[in-house]
Amino acid sequence: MKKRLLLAVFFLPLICLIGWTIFLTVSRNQGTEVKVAVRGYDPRDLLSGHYIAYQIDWAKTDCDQFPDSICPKEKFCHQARWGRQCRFYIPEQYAKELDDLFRKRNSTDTVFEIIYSYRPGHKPLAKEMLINGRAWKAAIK
Amino acid sequence: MSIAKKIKTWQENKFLSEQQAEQILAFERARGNRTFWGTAFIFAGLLIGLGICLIVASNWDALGAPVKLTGDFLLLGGFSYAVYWSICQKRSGLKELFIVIAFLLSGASIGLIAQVFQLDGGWQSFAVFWSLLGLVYVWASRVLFIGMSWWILLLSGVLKGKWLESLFEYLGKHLDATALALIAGLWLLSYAGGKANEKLSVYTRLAAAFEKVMMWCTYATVAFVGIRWGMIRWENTFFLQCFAYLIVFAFLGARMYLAVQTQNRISFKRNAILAEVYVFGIFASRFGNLLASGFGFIIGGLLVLGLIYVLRRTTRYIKSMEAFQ
Repeated sequence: MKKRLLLAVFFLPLICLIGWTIFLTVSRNQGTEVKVAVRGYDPRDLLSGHYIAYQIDWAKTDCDQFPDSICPKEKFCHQARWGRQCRFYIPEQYAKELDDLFRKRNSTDTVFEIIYSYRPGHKPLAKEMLINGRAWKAAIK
Repeated sequence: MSIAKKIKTWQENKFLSEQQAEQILAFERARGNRTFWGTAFIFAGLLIGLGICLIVASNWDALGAPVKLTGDFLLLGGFSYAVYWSICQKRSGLKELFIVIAFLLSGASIGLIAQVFQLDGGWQSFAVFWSLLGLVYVWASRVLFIGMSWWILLLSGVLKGKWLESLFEYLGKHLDATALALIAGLWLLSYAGGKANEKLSVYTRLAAAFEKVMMWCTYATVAFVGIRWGMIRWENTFFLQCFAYLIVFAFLGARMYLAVQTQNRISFKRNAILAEVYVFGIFASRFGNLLASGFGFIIGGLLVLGLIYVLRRTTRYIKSMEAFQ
């Protein structure tokens, strides 16, 4: 009995992580897709892995996608030192190319958008990044 | 003096027979070997665990998210079972290896899920969640380093960076009762950790690790105060400098006294060396007023001699000092 309890204790983190993954999968699949325009966030803070740090450009986002045509600005991203900041994780091998493209977007008229899975009352989950309307992987190849 | 030399001395004075001496030496050598192999296992575990973290952080595009998640969960499940197995088989070295890997892998798993689902959130939420998951493995470790790493992770998640920044800013601008209260508070926390360890050491070494982390924080705070107010001369009045010296020497003196009480030679020497280093540091910083500093040093030395004279007249303290001989 004691050994079974010990085994159960050591598998607790795995069970928690699997449960969390299932929850996130369900949340992402049940939400409505909304497209938001993004702009850069300065300064960069590369904490772990590679990601693009951005802010949502609500002025260029169509709020009719949301209930009552009101953009739920507080639901997106987290509060950081210089405003609300979001992250989109990217694979290491594309990091430099995407980083350069993102930084030069204004001079090259490149439009970056993020597709979110949105459900009222839940935190939105980013699903895809679009570059000039195309999925980012297709756009950089 | 090493244990081998001590045993030889005891043998020469007929306190131990040859057979007893050999038994003691064999026992101590076996313990030393366990220390060596245990350390090697932990080192290997660190390399493997951190390697997994780096691979996850690279966001390897060659595998799809479902494959990465499945592989990660299988790995975590495997190492979780390995920890359980090594405890049941009483394989202490392997246990520490698997604990280190499982602990680091639990953090890597959180990072992987954050990448796959594009989750926001900063270091704090990540660190707290990792600490909670990792606690399941860390409590079983007998290695202080692992426990201390866990506490540092938890504290870095719970204590906001803004608070620490404000605290250091305050200590940098004020040397007052708050600074003393902070040092005393950290020392009390360390003492509480030590007391808790007396009850809990059979089950876990987390209390001992907490005691160590809090003591490091105390030393760091005293060092900050001692350098900022005692050695960096601009803006400091003479009174504030002396106050800083008093804090540092009182703290180190108290640590040395406690080391005598507990017959901890290493702690005594360590604190004595720190006091000597601080004296040299003050000397090196004294380039504005050499005459007054010179007199100050001589007076300080005479005070120390006076203290030694008083101690030598007090039998109780001498008997405590004899414990080191």
